[in-house]
Amino acid sequence: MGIFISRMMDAFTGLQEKRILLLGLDAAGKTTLLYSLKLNECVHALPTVGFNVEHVQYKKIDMTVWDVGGQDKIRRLWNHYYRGTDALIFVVDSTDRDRIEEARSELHKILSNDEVQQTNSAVLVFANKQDLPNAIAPTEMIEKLALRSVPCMNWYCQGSVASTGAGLYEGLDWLNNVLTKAQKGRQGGASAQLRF
Amino acid sequence: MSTSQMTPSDQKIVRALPGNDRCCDCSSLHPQWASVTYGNLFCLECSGVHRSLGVHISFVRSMAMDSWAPTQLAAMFAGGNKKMNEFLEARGTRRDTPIAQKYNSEAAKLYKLVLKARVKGEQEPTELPASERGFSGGGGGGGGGGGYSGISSTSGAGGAKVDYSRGDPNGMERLRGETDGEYVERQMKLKDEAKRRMRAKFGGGAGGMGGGSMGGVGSSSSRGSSGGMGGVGSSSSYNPATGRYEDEGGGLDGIMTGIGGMLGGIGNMVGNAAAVAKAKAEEAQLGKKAEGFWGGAVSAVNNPTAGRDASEAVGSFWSRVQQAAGDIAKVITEPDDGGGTGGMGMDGLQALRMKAKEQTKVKPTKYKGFGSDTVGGGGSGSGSGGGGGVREDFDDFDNDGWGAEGDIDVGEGPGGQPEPPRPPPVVQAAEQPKPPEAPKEIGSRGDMGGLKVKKVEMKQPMSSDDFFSSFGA
Repeated sequence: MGIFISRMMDAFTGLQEKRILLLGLDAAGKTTLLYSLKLNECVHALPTVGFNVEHVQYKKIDMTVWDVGGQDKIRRLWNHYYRGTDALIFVVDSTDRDRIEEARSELHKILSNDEVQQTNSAVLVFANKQDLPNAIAPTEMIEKLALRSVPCMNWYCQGSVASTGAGLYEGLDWLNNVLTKAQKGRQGGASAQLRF
Repeated sequence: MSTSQMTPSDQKIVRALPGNDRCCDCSSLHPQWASVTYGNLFCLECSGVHRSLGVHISFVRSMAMDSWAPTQLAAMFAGGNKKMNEFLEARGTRRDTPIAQKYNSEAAKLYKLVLKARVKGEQEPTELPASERGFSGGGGGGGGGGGYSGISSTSGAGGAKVDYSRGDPNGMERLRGETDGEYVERQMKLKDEAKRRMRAKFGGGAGGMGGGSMGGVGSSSSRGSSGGMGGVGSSSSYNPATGRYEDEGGGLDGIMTGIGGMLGGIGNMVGNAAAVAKAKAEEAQLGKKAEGFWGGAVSAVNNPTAGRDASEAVGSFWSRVQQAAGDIAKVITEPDDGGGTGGMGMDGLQALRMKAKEQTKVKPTKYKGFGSDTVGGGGSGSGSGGGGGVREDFDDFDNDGWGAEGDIDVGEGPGGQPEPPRPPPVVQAAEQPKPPEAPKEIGSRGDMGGLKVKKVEMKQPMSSDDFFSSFGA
């Protein structure tokens, strides 16, 4: 009976496909985070020149996560990935206090983009590398990144350690919640979408 | 801080410094990455390890792809691979020492200070200040050693003696002569230790982590049990413990009650179903009827033969259960159906959905957080364009005339103009000179830690409206 019911559930609660953009300064931990989610292990990440893209399924969301390199010169390419994204995951190296201001300006630059504002409904900030000494706590990170001034968008700041996976799923829980809620809003609470 | 690109002439000067033609750590040719902290150059592979040490140990920049502040440039001019390695070797740290150990050595720490002083034109220190010696790792309360940061060639306050004869036992690289089993075991141990440090730093779940000693951590090593890495969001109504917004409260309660009622009801239904099933068995049409209710659904949800099997063995428990489930299904699929099931229509569906979510939820978390007040309000405009077209070929993306090495100056496309979706560009690596007409798919470098990662099919961004239609019935 359990199997029967759960299969029935699956039919009703079909997967939602979402396009997620994973951005942040160089060496913030984007690639490590992506493969920590995908493979549940810590990879030995190299600087990303170009991008990585993976499908990650979490709960009822099938995320296509685009991880784009964060070196200064290739940040100009980010705007080519903006179109049609459902959510942004912004990773910050919490120990890099010298460049937190740079991270703030990059984040706000992204969020002020028209294409991002069209479809992107949520920003999840990972205050990464919380295991290292002198890391900026998530509450402090909010101030440093001026998240409270982000207009018209849900945001959430979560501490994390991408290499061990700590905190990642807490962040995704929030994302899952917000995206399914946004989806419901779009359907206007109409009849259930069945997928067979 | 004014930053700018490293000009070709600057690069030339840096590359001309003694030893800078080869990686500082592994001696491979043409290093493209630099550590501002040590003024040295290294290859892409080694840059990965450097970055994993954290910016407080080595701040890595790309010669070609990063911007450089004048002081950072000055550090590069003042440094040089040969200078650094000679300095370290004079103090007993060999050039080919594993990177994590090499840059955590006291000699490297001293060199860092020397270089800093040299750039500033100050007196160069000849030995480490006492505060830098015997570094005890682990931030916060975790005095038990903090991964790389706890390593020190002379053991310090918190750093245990570490044997480096076979490589770095705290590193991800395999030790010399280590078997698969040993490697996995060691990595698991390191992972657990890292988790413990996290708990020590952020406070444990139940008992609290007063002293933060390594041994005193609660037995559970599950992820959710550590304290707060403090998720904080735009809405204070988000409760990470439940993963839901508090403002759903009323509705949620109702739904939960609905679930309770439903579950209770199932018991009755099973009972009733027994009687009903008997009657239906006489008609011997249970299976067909079920198919009738479900249409295509039954093939996905239920094996059609199961329905017939059930009708044959109608007296059995399973047939009753199935009948009950069929009743539930009827309730759900026909919400307008008045009948005996009354107002259970949409509520039942929602309840089931909630329950499904509940089942798939991994584990309640204790990471505290808050969410935004505008949840669900924002960004509901669905993207135009695109359609459901599926692109399967990555190589297609190379056709946009992505220029030669280093030439990645992209015009800023004005947002919101009706133009066909642009494929994401592939950037030419500036790592080594390559023919510009053959851009490589760099994002998928096979050397990604030896991982074999399957590339996913790429899809154009699609709106939610396209989403469902793309399933094709």
